[in-house]
Amino acid sequence: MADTLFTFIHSMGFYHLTVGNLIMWLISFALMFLAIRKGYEPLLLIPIGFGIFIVNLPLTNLMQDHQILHIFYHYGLEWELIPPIIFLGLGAMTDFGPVIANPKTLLLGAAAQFGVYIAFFFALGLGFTIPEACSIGIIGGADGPTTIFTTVALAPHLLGATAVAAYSYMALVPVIQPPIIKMMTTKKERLIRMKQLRPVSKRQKIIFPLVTCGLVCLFVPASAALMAMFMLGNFFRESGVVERLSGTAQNELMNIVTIFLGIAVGGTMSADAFLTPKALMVFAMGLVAFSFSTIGGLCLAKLMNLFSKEKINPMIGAAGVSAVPMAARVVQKMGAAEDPRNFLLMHAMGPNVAGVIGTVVAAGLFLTMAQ
Amino acid sequence: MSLWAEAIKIFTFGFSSVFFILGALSLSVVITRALIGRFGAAPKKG
Repeated sequence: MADTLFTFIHSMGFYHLTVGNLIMWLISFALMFLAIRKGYEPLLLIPIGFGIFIVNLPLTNLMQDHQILHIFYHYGLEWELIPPIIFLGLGAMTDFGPVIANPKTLLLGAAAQFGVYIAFFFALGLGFTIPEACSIGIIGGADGPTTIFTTVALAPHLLGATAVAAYSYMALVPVIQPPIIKMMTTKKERLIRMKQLRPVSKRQKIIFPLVTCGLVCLFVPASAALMAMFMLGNFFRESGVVERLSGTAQNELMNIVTIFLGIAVGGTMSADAFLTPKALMVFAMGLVAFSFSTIGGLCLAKLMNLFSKEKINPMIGAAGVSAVPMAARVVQKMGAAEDPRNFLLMHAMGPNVAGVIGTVVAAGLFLTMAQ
Repeated sequence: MSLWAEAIKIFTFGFSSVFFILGALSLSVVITRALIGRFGAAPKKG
């Protein structure tokens, strides 16, 4: 009888709970709290948080071969299927009009990759290998799917830490960026008004995804999976004749893969894999990456003003980090705080979407050079 | 090659390539606009 009772108790998850599991539960509850109460990236933090919770229930073995979370992880992430599908949806949601109207904003998107490389060096200094440092650096692009895509290829053991760091910092854009922007710009610069963007023809909008896809994929073939799907989604949108495909890409398909993505990323965050000094360092490096990316965009915008007759508000450089459209909204809000009649949102959307292209290019270059 | 030499190569080649590619893209937007203006119909508001 006693033996049976002992075996029964031993078969329960309660018996095998560790302090690590409890800490991971707290982390999952914190993410779910941020999503529900603060509205930070709820579409991702809810499934990620729940994934962390269930993978840290002892004996459930959900991340073992042929178990549900492992199936999502294996086919969705290891096969690099989900990030490109997310990019298809993002492309269908993106309006490249502001970039086409003011193409020099593409350079601001490039400058905002500065943090990617700074964090790369910091990570190397902390003892990470080159592939690991590339995965950590790409967090600075503030682009979740690209971070996941790069990490799965270069340092899959860091996936949980880099993905959660990327999404957490994306959610914290309104907290992280304003002090940096204020520190790097003067009041006079923040008051600069920009000329209204010129109208962009439908023809230009249709040609843009074709040209971008061809150009980027020819220069950096390793970025093709993300870039091709991004531009295909945008081509659906701009062609104007496949509204059903465009709608599916940006709604149903996007929602389905977001569930699988979130839960698979959460599933990688078991206590033994996540509660390590390396994971904490990844979080710290993510913040470095993100901050320096903001600084990079701001500095180039200020530099452009030295040589350009038509001044740009340097705050739009900060929107070069990809977090679309949150970074652009931060710029709009800060501009309006200085001058309520200054509308910077559409100007900031240019570097914002250019930042997505820049991050994909940077990721493709990392994959080419570090793999 | 030492770790840091490799890292510097990745940085210089990588960061400059990001600028080069986005710069080329920027230029292609300008060229496309010029070509459409020259050979295409008058642009409609999109």
